[in-house]
Order: sequence, then C-alpha cells, then structure tokens
Amino acid sequence: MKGLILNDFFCVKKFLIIYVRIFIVVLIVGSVLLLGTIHGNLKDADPHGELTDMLVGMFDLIIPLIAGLSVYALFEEVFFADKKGWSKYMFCLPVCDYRKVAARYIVATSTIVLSLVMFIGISAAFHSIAGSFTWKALGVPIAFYCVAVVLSYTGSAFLYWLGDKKKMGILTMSVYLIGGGGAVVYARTLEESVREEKLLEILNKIIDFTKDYWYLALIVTVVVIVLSYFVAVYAVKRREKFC
Amino acid sequence: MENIIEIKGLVKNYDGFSLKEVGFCLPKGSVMGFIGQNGAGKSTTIKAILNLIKTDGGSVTVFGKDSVKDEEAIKEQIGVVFDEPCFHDVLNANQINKVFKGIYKEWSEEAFFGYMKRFELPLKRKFKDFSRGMKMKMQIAVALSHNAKLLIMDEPTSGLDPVVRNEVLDVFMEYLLDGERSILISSHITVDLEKIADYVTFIDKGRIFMSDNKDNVLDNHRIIKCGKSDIDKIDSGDIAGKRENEFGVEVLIKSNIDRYSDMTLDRATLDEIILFYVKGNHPSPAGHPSKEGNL
Repeated sequence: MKGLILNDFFCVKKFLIIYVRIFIVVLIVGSVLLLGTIHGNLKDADPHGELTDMLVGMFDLIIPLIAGLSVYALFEEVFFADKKGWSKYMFCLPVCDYRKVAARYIVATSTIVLSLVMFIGISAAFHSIAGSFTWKALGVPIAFYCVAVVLSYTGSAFLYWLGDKKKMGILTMSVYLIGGGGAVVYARTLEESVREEKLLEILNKIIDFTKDYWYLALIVTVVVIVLSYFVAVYAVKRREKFC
Repeated sequence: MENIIEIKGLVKNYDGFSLKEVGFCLPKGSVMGFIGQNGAGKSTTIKAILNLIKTDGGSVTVFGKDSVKDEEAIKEQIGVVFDEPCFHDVLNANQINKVFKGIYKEWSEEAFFGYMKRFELPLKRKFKDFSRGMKMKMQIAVALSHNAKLLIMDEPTSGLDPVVRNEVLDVFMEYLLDGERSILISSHITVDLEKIADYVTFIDKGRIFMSDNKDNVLDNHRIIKCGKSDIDKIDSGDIAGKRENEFGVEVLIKSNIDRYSDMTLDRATLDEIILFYVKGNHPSPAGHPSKEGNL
C-alpha cells in the first residue's frame, strides 16, 4: 500500500506546494493589513476597531473558501481525474481492494487535515492579532470548510459507485439540493410568514448555533469520510467499471 | 509438463458479445501467442485471467491457484503490460521506482534502472513527455523488475515501430532464458508471435478455434494455389478455408498434407492461417491475404 500512497502523493505534490504558498501569501498580507490597522498608520483611521473587525470577518470567509476550493482541487486530482489506465493497472497489483481505496483516502484525508490545521492556524493568528481569539470565533469557518469536505467525499463515493464523473456531479448536486430544499420547506412550515427580518434572525441563530456546536460539523465530517470509504470499497469490489 | 495458466470453460456474457467456453493452457517456460481480430475476445480473456472482470462460468488457475481466491499471491508473481499508458502523467522514472518498490516484495531497483539504461529512458522526464514507444518500454521495465514468473501482455507491441518492437522482443527472449518463466502475449501482429511464441491460441467471436504448439500449427497447414476446377481433387475434410480470386483458388489445408504432394504447397504464416479460418470461406476483395503481418 505504501507504493499506492506514494503514487497519489506524487500526483498531489505540486498542488500541495501551490496551496501552501497561497496560505503563506494570505498570512503575510493579512498580518500586514491587520497590524497596519491596529498598530500602524491606519490606527487613527480606525479608533473603534470597526475596520479591524471587518478585516477579520473578511478573512474568516476568505480562508475557508480557499481551503474549500483546495479540497475540490485535491479531489479533482486524486479521485475525479480520468485515470482509466492507472485504475485498470492498479487492479493487476498485489494489493487488496481495501488498501487500494485506503491509499487514496489516506492521501486525501491527510491533505485535508493539513489544510484544516493551516487555516485554523492562520485564522487563529488573525483573531489573536485583533485580540478577538476564541474557539467559538473559528466555529463558522470550520463548519464552512467541513461542508466542502463532506460534499467532496460524498462526490468521491458516488464516483466510485457510478464510475462516471457527470453522473457523480448530478447525483451529488441532486442529493444536496433535495436536502437543502427540504430544509427550506421545513423551515417555512415552522414559520408561515417568513419575512426578511425573520430570515436574518434565523441566519443569526444558525451562526450562533454553529459557534456553539462547531465540533458537531467535525464529527459529521468524520462519519461521512468513513461511510464514503466503505461505499468506495464496495464499489471497487465490483471492479468492472474501472477496467 | 506443469501449466502456469489453465483456463477451463470460461464464459463471460456482455450485450452483443460473449466468451464461449474458452479454454487453453500455458505450459511453464513457454510463450503463448494469443491471436485474434479486434473484438475477438483476447482482452476479455486476459481480464478474466487477471480477475479484472467477474466471469459467468468456468475456472481460471494461475500457478495452480484460483485466480480469484488467491489473487494477491498470484499478482505478486505476474508482470502486466497493456497497450495503453498506465502510469500517471506527472511521474518520472525515479518516482515510479519508489512507487513499485512499495508495492512488490521482490522489486529490484537494480533491474529497473538497468532496463532504464538499456531502453535509454530518461530518469527525470515526466511520463506525459514520453513517446508511445518510451511509455511502452517503461511498462515493460516495471513488469520485468519484480522477478515475475509470468508476463501477461495485451497488445504490447501495437503502435511501436519495427526497431522498438525488435528490441522489446529481444528482452522477452532473455527473460525466458532460465526456463522458469512464461509469457502470455496477445497480439494481432502475428509476425512478432512467429518470432517468439512456442504455442499459439486462436480466438474468434469469443470462441477458441485452435490452441497448439506453434510449430505443429505451421507444419500442419499448407496453402494450395490451384485452378477452380482442381478444387474437387481436395477432400473437403482437409480444407480449413478457401479464397477465390480471378486467377483461381487458394486453399488452406489443415490435414493430410502428404496426399497433395503433386500440387503446389506453400507454407502458411500465422497471419494467413487465421485469415483463412476467419474469413476463408468468402472471396477476398483484394484476392490475397495481407502480407504485412497485421490482421
């Protein structure tokens, strides 16, 4: 299995380097902006710290967005790219089906964990510079990132299952649109006259809930990763669509 | 003689195509040429041997073991070459070495880099920048670098120029020198198989119609060129196929060759044999079987 892990690692190596560089740039630019606002020449222009809060809030969105996009890019490379030749060849190697899938999941998951650690580190650094660091403050970006991860792993499981990228995309989107639509319908039945103010209230409640219970997103993510692994193994055992 | 591969009654059904009770054996230390037209069932049979597809009947044993139950143990001792590129585009030879070192217990870096040098393959260039011939050589180098006892190759020489094909065939011949190793090679380039095969198996429309020692096959077949009126002199039971053209008839004889010593007998090539068997009962538009070695 070590060889298969190395194989996938070599494939994502270039992507990882680019990804780390992007984070370093964001760290430097963000730190310079925040330090300039708090201690530098913008200090007088922002006496109440509104600009600082706005910058931190902006980075809270940008960083998980970059991380989320990186998850898609990673999955595109590890799972979704057309590698029919290699897939067929892989089944000729003396490696059991569990390990074939596990190798990909190890590379993808370790990259995702690395990405998570980096973006939590950078977010924590920005919040610390702004003097607003709490774990709760990181809850929303972490949950946002987890959504991207859950979507990607669901997609990879569907891809293993269906063996077709288009069908995978349609099924993944359908599942989550139906899920999202169902949630909206459910919310509307709870509150018949949902006005704009009410929507904002609901949104704020969701944000507060996410800040309090962000670790649930991590638990759900881990469960989805494990489930998607077993779906993938089951699909690989049927192997014909890969060969 | 010990058989490395034994296939009995292999059945696989697809929409519009099926393998029908395919069966043959590959004796230890020999090369089996697996010959057939495109779509005849060569690749499907090879996939069944490698357990890449679920079969609908029959059995496949490799090294005396069940190809499904003992899959991992079998694949440790098999080298595989496909006709399409298999490795990731971004990998170079050094990385491919590391990958396979982590997969095969008996991986030999010395052997791998030896083949790299012999095939003049660059170590740092990415796989995507290799020519088709180089990609094929890389696959062959990998297949030969983990002390495999059996090579299974699906059209390994297709698309290669004659120089590279010769080079590759020489490597296969060296691989067989110790008498412990065997090769199953599917190809529609029969001139290659005539050079290296000890046995040949012919497949058409999912059915094996001949599997024998290559020399027996070549010795037992002759082509008679005669006028249309002379064909009555040939026993219909001896005829494998015939091709009519404006000058007369070409008949492939499959038995009792001595009986026709008074007629002009030509040795048949593998290419001609399969052409007569598969297409031999219909007049050929060109009048002659292909002489270029390709089906």
